[in-house]
Amino acid sequence: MSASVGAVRAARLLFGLRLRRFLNLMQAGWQFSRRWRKPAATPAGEQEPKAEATSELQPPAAEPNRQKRRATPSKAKLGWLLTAFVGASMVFSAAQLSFKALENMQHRALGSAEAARPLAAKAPAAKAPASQKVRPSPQASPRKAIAPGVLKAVALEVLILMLAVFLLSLGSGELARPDWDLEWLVTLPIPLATLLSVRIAERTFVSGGLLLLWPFLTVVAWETGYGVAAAAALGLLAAVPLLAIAATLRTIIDTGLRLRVGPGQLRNLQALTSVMALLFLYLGMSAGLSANSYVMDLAVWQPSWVFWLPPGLAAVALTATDKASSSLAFVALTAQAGLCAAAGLGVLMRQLRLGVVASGARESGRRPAARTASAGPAPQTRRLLSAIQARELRLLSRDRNFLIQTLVLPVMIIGAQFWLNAGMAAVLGSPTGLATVAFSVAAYALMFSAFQTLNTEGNALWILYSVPQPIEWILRQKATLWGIVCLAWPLAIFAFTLVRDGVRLETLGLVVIVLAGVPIFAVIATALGVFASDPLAQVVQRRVRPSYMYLYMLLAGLYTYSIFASGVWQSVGGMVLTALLGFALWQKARDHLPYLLDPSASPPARVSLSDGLIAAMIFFVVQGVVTVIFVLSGQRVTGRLLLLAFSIAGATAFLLMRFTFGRLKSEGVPSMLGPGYGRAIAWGACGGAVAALAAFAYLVLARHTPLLEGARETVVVGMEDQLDQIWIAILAVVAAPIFEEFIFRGLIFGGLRRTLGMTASVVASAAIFALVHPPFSVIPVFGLGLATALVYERTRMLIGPIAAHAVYNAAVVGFQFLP
Amino acid sequence: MIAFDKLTKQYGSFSAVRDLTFQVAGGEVFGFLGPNGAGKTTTIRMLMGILVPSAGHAAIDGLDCQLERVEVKRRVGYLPDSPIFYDFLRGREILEFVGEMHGQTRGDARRNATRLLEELALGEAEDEYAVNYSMGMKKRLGLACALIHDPSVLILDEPTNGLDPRAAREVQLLLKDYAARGKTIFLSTHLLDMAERVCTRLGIIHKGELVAVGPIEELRSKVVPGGTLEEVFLKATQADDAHSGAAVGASAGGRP
Repeated sequence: MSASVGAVRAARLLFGLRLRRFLNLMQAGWQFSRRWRKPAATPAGEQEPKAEATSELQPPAAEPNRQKRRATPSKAKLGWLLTAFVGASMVFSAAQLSFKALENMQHRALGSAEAARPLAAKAPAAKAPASQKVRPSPQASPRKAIAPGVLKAVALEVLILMLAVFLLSLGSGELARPDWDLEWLVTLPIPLATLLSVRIAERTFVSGGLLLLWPFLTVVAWETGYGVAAAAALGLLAAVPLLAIAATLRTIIDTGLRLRVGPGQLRNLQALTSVMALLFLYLGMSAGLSANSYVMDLAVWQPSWVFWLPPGLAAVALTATDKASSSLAFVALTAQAGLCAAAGLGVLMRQLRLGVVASGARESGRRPAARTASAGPAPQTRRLLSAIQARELRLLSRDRNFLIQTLVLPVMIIGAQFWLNAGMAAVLGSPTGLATVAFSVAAYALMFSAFQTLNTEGNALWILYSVPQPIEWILRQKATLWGIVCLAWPLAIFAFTLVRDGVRLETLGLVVIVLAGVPIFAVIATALGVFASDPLAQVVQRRVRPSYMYLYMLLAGLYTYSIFASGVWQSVGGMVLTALLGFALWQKARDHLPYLLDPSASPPARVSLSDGLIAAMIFFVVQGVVTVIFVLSGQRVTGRLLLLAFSIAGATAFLLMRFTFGRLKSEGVPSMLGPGYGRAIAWGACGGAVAALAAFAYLVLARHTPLLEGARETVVVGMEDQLDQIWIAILAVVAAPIFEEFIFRGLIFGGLRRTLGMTASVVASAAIFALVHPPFSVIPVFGLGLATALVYERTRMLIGPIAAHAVYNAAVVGFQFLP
Repeated sequence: MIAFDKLTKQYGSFSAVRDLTFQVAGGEVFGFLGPNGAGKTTTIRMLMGILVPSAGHAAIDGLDCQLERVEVKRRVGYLPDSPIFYDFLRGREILEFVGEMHGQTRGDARRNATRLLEELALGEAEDEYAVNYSMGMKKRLGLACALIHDPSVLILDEPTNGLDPRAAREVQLLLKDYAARGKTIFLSTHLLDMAERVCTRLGIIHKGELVAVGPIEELRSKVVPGGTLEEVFLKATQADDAHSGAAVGASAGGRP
C-alpha cells in the first residue's frame, strides 16, 4: 500500500516530470548533433533481442563492460535550433509591433503635436531608473501620465491578445482525440482536484501565449518609465494572471466540455477556433501595423467599467503613476485571476463527475437509413479520379479541420493583411501585387495539403505499403489532385481581375507564371513533405519537421522573384530553375521512400542535384535582388556593379550550402583539392584558355554585329581608377570562380553525373550555368560551362575547374580593358 | 476483497456492462474472460474510477471505487491494455515518478524502480525513451508501474496480450508468486490457456453480462462436462441470446 501524498508534493512531482521531459527534449536535440561525430550508439531495435534472450526471472549475469546506452530519440535534426530561432524572432517582432502600436495609440489619442512630447520626456526618465533594480520611486523619475484614450486602447489590445492566446491554444490541441494523459494520471492516488489545478498551472506558465502577451506588457511598462528589467518583471507579473484566466477557460473546454459534446461537433469547434484565433491575432497585430486600425476605433467605444475587468486592470497596473494605485490594481488582478481559476476548477469537477474520459462513443460512420441508393458512380462510367484521389477528397469533405486549413486559412492569412492594413489595399491595384497574392494563397494552400500528404496517412501508412502500387505512384496522384485543387484560388482571383480590368497583355504573362507555378510547387511540396514527415512519431506535434516547412516557404518566396522580375529572361529563368528543382526533389524523395517506415536503415544525408539547384536558385535570386538594391540606391548599372552582385550572390549561396552540409555531416561534398592537383590546375588552365579564345571570338563578332550591340551596352565597364581595377581583378579571378564552381560543377554537375551519362550532364550543367548569367554573356558562358565540366570530369577535384574559370575571367576582364 | 454490486454502464441506449454482481475474495487470482468488446475494459475502468457507473457500485477492500477513489488507488496497482507513455521520458524516469507519486521518498522510489526493472528484465532498456519500446517492453514497464508500491490488489487488463511466449511465461510466474504472497489479482484476458494456468476462479462476460462464474473445475462440470475451457468459453458466449448461459455458476459470490 502506498503512503498518502500531499497536494503540494503531487504538484511538485507533476511539474518535475514535465520539466524532466522538456530537458530531455532539449538534450535530445543537442545529443543528436553530438552523436553524429562518432556514431556509436545503436538504435533501440538492435539491443532488444539481447534483452529478451537473457530474460530469466533471476537477474541476468552481470556484464562487466555493459555501457550505459544513450537514449535515441526520433530524428530531430535542425528542428530545435530553427524553432529556437523562430521563437526569438517572434519575440523580437512582437516587441517591435508593441512599440509601434503604442506609438500609434498615442498619436491617435493625443494628436501629432502632443505625441512628440511624451516620447521626448521618456528619454531622460528612462535613463534614471536604468540603474535601479526595483521599481523607481516617484520622485526619482517622473512617470509620464498616460492619456485616458491611450489607456483604453491598451486595455482593448490586452483583451484582444488574451482572446487570441486562448483561441490559439484551444485550436492547437487535438480536441476530438481521447485524452490518455489525464486518464493515466487519474489512476494514481492523487485527488482529481489536484490534477486539474496542476494542469491549469502548467498551461499558464508553459504556454506560447507568453510570447504574445509578455512583450506587449513589458513595452507598456517601459513606455511608462520603468527600467528594462523592472518593466520585464512587471510585464510578467501582469501577464501571469491573464494567462491563468485563458488557461482555465481552455481547460474547461478541452477537458470538461469534451465529455459532453460529440466528436463531430468538437471538430467543428476546433475549425472555428483556428479561424477565429487568426482573426484576433491579426486584429491585435494591426494596432502596430497601421495608424488607423480598427483597434483604435473600437477602443473609443469601451465603457469605463472595463477597467474593473482583468485586461483593464492590467493596463492600469502597468501605467499608473503612483505606487498605491498600481499595487492595488495588481492585487485586484491577481485576486480576480485566482477567483476565476477556483471557479473554473469547480466547473471542471462538476463536468468530470460522470467520468474522466469521453463516454467511449467514437464518431460513428453509419449514416442514417434514409439515404438514396446511389452510393457511388455507375459502374460503366470511367473513373475520373483514382482511388487515392477520391479518398483524399472524401477526407477533405469530412475532416473539417483539414478543410478549413486547406481552403479557408490561406485566404484568411493573406486577406487579413489587406483588411486590417489599409495601406496594403493599394497593392491589389498593381498586376504584380495581384499575381503575388494569387500565388501566395495557392502556395499556402499547398503547404497545408500537398505538404501533408504522408502526414494525413499517419499511423495507417502501412496500408499504402501493402497495396500493389508503388508509393511513388500514390504520391503522384496526390500531387496532381492538390495541384489542381489549389489552382482554384488563383483562377478565382484572376477571373475577378479579368472582369474588373479587362484583358491586358502584361497580366497575361503574370497569369502564366502563377498558373505554371502552382503545379510545380505541388510537386515540390509533395517531395518536401516526404522528407518532412515522420510517420513513426508518437506525438502529433512532432509529425512534421519544421525545417522543411521553412525551406518550402523559402522556395515559394524565391519563386515570387519571377513575378517581380522586370525582364522576360529572369522570369523564364526562375521558372525553369524551379521546375528543375521540383524534378530533382522528386527524385530525391523517391529514393527516400523505401526508408520511411524504417529510418534506421536509411542512408545518411548525401549531397545531391537538388542541393545544387537550390544553391543555383539562391544564387540567381540574390544576384537580382542585390542589383535592384544597388539601382535603387542610385548607382548606375555598370559591369562592376553586376560583378559585385554576382560575387555577393555567389558567396551567399556557397556559405549557406557549406554550413548546411557541415551541420548535417553530408556525404559526397565535392572536394577542393586532391592528389595530383598540379596536373588538375594545368588541365584547368588549358580548358580555361580554350573557353577564353571562344569568348574572344564571340566578343569580336559582337562588336561587329548590330544585333548584339544593344545588349552589350549594359556590360560596358565603367572603371575609373587603379584601385577599382585591382579589386575587380581579385573578385573576378579569385572569389567568383570558387563560389560558382562549387555550386555548378561540384553540386549540379556531380548530381547530374550520378544519374545521367557524361554528355547529357555536361550539356545540362552548362545550360543551367548559362541560365543564371546576364543574357548577353549566355553563349560564351555556356562554352565555359562545357569546358569546366569536362575538366571536373577529368580531374574529379574542384581546383581544376576553378583554375579554368579563373583563367577565363582573367582573360575576359583583361579584354575589357582594351579599347 | 473486490465486490461488484449490480454494476452497470450505459451509453445512451447501448449498455456496455449490465448488472454485474459477483465477488472476488482476498488472495484469489480471478480471471475475467470474455470475447473482444464484451465489456472487460469498461468494467476495469469503472474499478479504477476512470469511468463512472450508470448504476450500481464496485468496492475494493470495503472502499467504494467511485466515492473513495484516492484511497482505492493507494491499494491497487493497475495495468491498462495498451500502455501509452510520454515521449522524451525514459522508462526509469517514468517508473520513479510513479513511485514518488505513491508517496515513496526519492531514494526509496529509485531503489524500488531499480529492483523492479531488474526483475522484469528491463535493466538494459531503462535509459531508453519509453515510446521507443516494443509492445512487450511497454507492458513490462506498465507492470512495473503497477507493482512499485507493493499494492494488495492488482488489476490487470490483458497482461500477456502481445507478449512472446517467454515473456508471457515470466509474467505468469510473477503473478503466481504474487498470489502466493496473499495478494489479490483481478485480470482480464481472452487467452484461455493463460487463464487456466494462473487463475483460481473465472468469470465469463458476454455482451456486458456475466454468464458464468466460479472455480475452473466447477465451470467445466456445469457448462460442458468433461470439456476443455475453450469449449466452456464458446458455449457460454454463444451469440444468439445474451442469456443463453445465464448465471451458470453454483456460487455467484465466494466468501466475502
